[in-house]
Amino acid sequence: MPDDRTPDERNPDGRTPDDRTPDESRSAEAVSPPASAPAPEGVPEREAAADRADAPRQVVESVSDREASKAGRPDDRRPADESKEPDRARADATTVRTGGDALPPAAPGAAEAAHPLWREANPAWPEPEPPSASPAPARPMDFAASLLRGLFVQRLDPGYEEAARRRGGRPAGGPAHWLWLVVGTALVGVLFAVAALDAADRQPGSEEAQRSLADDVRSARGDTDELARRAGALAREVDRARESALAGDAGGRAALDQLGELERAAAAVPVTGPGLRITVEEPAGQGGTRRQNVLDRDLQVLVNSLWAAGAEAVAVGGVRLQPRATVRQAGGAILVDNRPIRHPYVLEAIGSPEDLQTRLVGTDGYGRFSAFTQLYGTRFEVRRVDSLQLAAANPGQPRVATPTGGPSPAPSQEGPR
Amino acid sequence: MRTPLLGPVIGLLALVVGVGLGLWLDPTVPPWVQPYLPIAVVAALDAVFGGVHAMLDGRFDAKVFVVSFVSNVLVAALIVLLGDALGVGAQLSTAVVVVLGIRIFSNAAAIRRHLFKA
Repeated sequence: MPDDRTPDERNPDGRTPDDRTPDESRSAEAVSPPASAPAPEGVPEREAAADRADAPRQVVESVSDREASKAGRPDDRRPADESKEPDRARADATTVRTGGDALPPAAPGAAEAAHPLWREANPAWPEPEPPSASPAPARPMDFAASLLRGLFVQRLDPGYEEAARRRGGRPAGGPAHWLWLVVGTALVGVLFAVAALDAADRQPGSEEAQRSLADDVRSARGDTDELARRAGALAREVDRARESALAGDAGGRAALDQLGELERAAAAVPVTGPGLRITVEEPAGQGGTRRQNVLDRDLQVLVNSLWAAGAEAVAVGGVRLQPRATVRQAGGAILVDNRPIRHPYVLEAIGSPEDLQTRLVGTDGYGRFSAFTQLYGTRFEVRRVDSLQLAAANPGQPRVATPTGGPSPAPSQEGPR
Repeated sequence: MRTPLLGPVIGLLALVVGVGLGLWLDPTVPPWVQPYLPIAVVAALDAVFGGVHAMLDGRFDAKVFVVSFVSNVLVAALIVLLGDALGVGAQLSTAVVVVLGIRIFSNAAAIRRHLFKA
């Protein structure tokens, strides 16, 4: 540290060097840089050395703890000091390091240079409020400060003081006084009552509107739930009625079987069973962004490979594939049956896991994704799963088509099932 | 004040009478006055706390009380009116409430010291 400080600043404690304990003065000596060391301005040195300060500081602290416990000296004020003045603590460590450089590493003086002992002796960093740091006395009081002071000083309203002075300290009295008092307090009471009535009139207005709106939303939501529940119950009822109506004779049973088959084929019913779960994950790129290597057509190829390998039902990203479902891309998002799916693409296929996997390995899709893994680091993982659950898809309006050949009738449309 | 309790009792009675009067009359507040009622109430509270403080100090003056009450209410309403005209009504309302609130607190602190010696 350059020695350009006034004596007051150098020794804020007001102690002469002779007052120091031997330990302290020794540590102060140890800390002050040697004359041969470069002595730049204080601030840049601190900043430059602050980067290196952490490691030596830890060493110094542990040494300090040991010293303190050895000396039986209570170390209570150190944590408080540190939390209050982290900058200073850092600067301390920095300076200690500077001093340590000048000494052999195992020098006992460096160990004793640890704060808090050292800080008490170090004149370079004055206590928080040295006398010389107080503002110049000649400065006029800050306007804001005086305003705040005026607000917080609990004095009587000047009007009352002046009135009391006019009366000469005699307490007020007389009929006029009582009249004023009664009129004034009555006025205050009237104002309070009117305001209370007004508030009572007004507040329910705005709050009631809000509450009724919220009630409307809640009841509409409840209605929706109730309607959905009723729709489900009615659909089940229709199924049961159809079953009971058709199960009576052989023709009906055949129709029912065909219906079930078609429903499964159209992915209109949820299915469970063993199968494969394929996870496709693209590697993370720089800065958290992902390059999109896997495109919709790759997933299409993979899905077709799954069908070709004998999958009975397929879902991509949790969306069950129905016969008319598509896997396509819109911007960066993959849409499956017009619903966006999230990035680690998970394909689930129901079928015999062993057969599926064996056949899948020979398909186009498997080869393509294996190549991706080698080229781009894409994660491509095929795992056998004992039990998969695939939700029902919404096949939309079924259409009935008849094979061409004969007189081609116009394709007829039926309503939803 | 001949007896020390006479003033407060009369004041309280008048206050109750005023509240009853207001409730009984239930005057319809014109819509243009409505925005100023809350501010007026805060201003009135300031006057009341100042008055109680003065009364405990033995320097209460009914005329000063009434004048301070009326002028507080009017000035507060005027400031808010001006703010509304300038488009900063909400900010000026906040300013009035802050200033009056600080005054109320300091008066309340003085009253507390008088009553509880704490």
